This record gives sequence, structure tokens and C-alpha cells, in this order.
Amino acid sequence: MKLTEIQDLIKFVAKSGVSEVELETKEIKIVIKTPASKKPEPAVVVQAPVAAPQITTAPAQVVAPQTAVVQQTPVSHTPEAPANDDSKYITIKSPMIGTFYRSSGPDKPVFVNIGDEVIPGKTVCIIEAMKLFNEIESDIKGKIVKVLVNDASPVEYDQPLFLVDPS
Amino acid sequence: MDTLFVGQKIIQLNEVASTNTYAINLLKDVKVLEGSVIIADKQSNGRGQRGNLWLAEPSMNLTFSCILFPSFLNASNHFYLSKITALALYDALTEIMKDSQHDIKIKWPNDILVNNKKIAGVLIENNFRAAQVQQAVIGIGLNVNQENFGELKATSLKACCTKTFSLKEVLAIVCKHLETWYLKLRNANGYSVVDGAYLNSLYLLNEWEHYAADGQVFKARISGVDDSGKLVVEMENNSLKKFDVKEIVFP
Repeated sequence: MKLTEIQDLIKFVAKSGVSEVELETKEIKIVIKTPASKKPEPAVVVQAPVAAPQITTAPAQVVAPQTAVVQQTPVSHTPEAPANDDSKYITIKSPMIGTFYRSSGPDKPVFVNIGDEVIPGKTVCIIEAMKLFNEIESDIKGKIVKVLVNDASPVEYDQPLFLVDPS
Repeated sequence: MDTLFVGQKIIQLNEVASTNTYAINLLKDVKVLEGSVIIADKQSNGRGQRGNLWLAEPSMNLTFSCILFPSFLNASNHFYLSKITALALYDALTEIMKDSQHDIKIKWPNDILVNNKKIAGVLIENNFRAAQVQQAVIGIGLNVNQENFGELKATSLKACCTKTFSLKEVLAIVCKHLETWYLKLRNANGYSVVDGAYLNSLYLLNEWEHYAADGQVFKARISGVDDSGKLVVEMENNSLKKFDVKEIVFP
């Protein structure tokens, strides 16, 4: 699909008054959404295959001045790219200096594993500090994505312990 | 029981793996009143520091846990629970043994010594959410009527005072002092009052002794305990060093 064709399509959708148009071809998938307030500039979501990112960067620059929203994500039939972006994850942090333990004893099972669901109140680890054993509970709901500290290693105040995917 | 809440509710068990573990599980299942005490005649798996067992003959000693909700304490102050428990035991033993002369000390961080022998130990397990202490389980083991300690450098009330004590009466005295110190901690100047009393009772404070750390023996004297609970010692060259629990060996 040519750049000008995308622009024409956006103009057409904006004029037509429809709120959402989805168009999918072999190489590209386009979703155009118009705000409910019927502003002339519609918001645009362009989804392109990862294999051809250079094609989709160009439309992004064109549509941006029209206050459109452009995202580049793989279309549904291509495999998802590995999520390197950790920003959507929340961390559970250590409230104190101490030693991090994943279980309640040397021969006990770990409190949480990668992939486990946590809810507020669920114990995720123990921090031992000065002979005090502190069970740390999750204060968020989500799925454990990563354990950031090795068992029985020292941790600092506010050090991230777990990455949690809240979605 | 001459208290407002500590020990007002007592859960008596014949035998349990650990009163602390029982208390923690109880807190997960039901609503528990603050100050509730779980006491067992026999603990089959009483715990000291991670992995260390607390050995007590059945029905001879006090092994119990007290549940507190110190939500006023934030994470950086959690060592104060250790301090007030040690102070409560110190005051309780002072009251119980007032008729005879004994040297009672708090050995950092929270063992209690009488005449240089261990008489009581403490194991505290807290529960944190968002950097606030939600629940604290104060586990106390106090040697009362046991007389034989084998090779251990330990003692009991009976060994010190050559008479048998009622476990119930000793428990009531410990609960009373635990409540007193817990309430003191909540006062406006609570932290400094607790700090002062803790230092006053600290074993080997300001005494030059030989300690060991990192495989080295050195001469030093304890000068205090920092906010996080670490031991602060003065070295021979006047420099100060801080140690965590398992980093330093006492003489």
C-alpha cells in the first residue's frame, strides 16, 4: 500500500463520520479510529509486520502532524517479538537491607516461581535482617515475570526483587 | 494477667512444630486479636536463627509467640521490635530474680544472658506490605525449670535461683513487660527511651575484648548499635566498624 493511499484513506474515514475502520492486506494492517467528538483528524493505528519496519516508519511521520496515534506492532499472524521493554512491568522492592530468601527454609519450596500469579497479601520472599525474619507480601496483582535476585544474597533498601506483569 | 492486651487471649497447645509458624498460619486464616499468645508445652521444631534449632525439654520452659500489629513501625525501624522484646525479657528477669544477685545482660542482638549464660532467645517474624510492618510474631524461648543443658553454655531460672517456678506466673510477668515496652515505643520519644535502656543493658558494652571476623582475631570494644541493628565496635586504632549478626564472633 502506498503512502498516498493511506493518507487518502485517512481523509476519507475522517469525512465519512464512521468511528472505526479496519483494513488488512498481506503486508499491512491498518486501524483508523475517529474520536467520539467528531474532530476532523482521526487517530490512526498502523500495524505492520516486523519484517518490514522501514515501510511503516514513513507513514508514521506523515500522520503524526495530524495528531494521529501510530503504533508499530506485528500483525497477528506473525510471531510476537520478544518483549525487551520492561517498562510495562511493576517491581516489588525490598523494604530493607538484609538477606533475600525465596523460601521459608533451606528445604522448603519457593514462595513464587516465574509465571505464578500474585495478589496483594501473597508472600513472595523473606528478607532476613538482624535475626528478624520479614515476610514480604506483594502489594500488587499480576504475574511474576522475573526474579531479579539470587536466593540467599544480600539486598539493599529499595532494591527491585521481582518483575511483575500487571496486565 | 495484669495487661491491657498482651496475653489476654492465650491459645494453649500441647505440642506444635513451632509456635511462630502456628501463629503465622493462624493470621492467614482468621482474625486474631492483637496481643494474642500461642504457647506450647512441647515444640518439636522450635527455631532459632535460620536452620538453628531451639532445644527445650517439654513442659520445663516457656516457649511462646505473641502477635502484635505494629503498623506504626516502618521498615527502617523494625529492629526496635527486637530491642523492646529483649528489654521486656530483661525487666521480667530482673523482677523475677530480684531476691538474688545476678548479672543480667542483653547480648546483641537479642539473647538474654544471666551470669554470662544464655537464658532466653528471641525469634521475630514480621510481615511486610508496602514497607509497613503489618504483623509481627514475637517468638520467645525462656529457660525456666530445665536444669540439664549438657555442653551448652545455658542456664535457667531454676538453675539460678534453686527453686521451681510456675510457667503461668513467669508468662504473665513477661507479657506485662512486653506490653509496657511496646507502649513505650509508641510514645513520642519512644525510640530514644528504648535506645538508652537497650545500651544500658548491653553485654560487653565499652569493654575491650577479643572478637573474630573474617578469620581474624582483633581487639575491640562495643560502642553501640546503629539504627538498622548492626553492632558498632571501636577498633584499637579508634576507627569504628559495623557488623551484621553472622559477621562477628563474640569472645
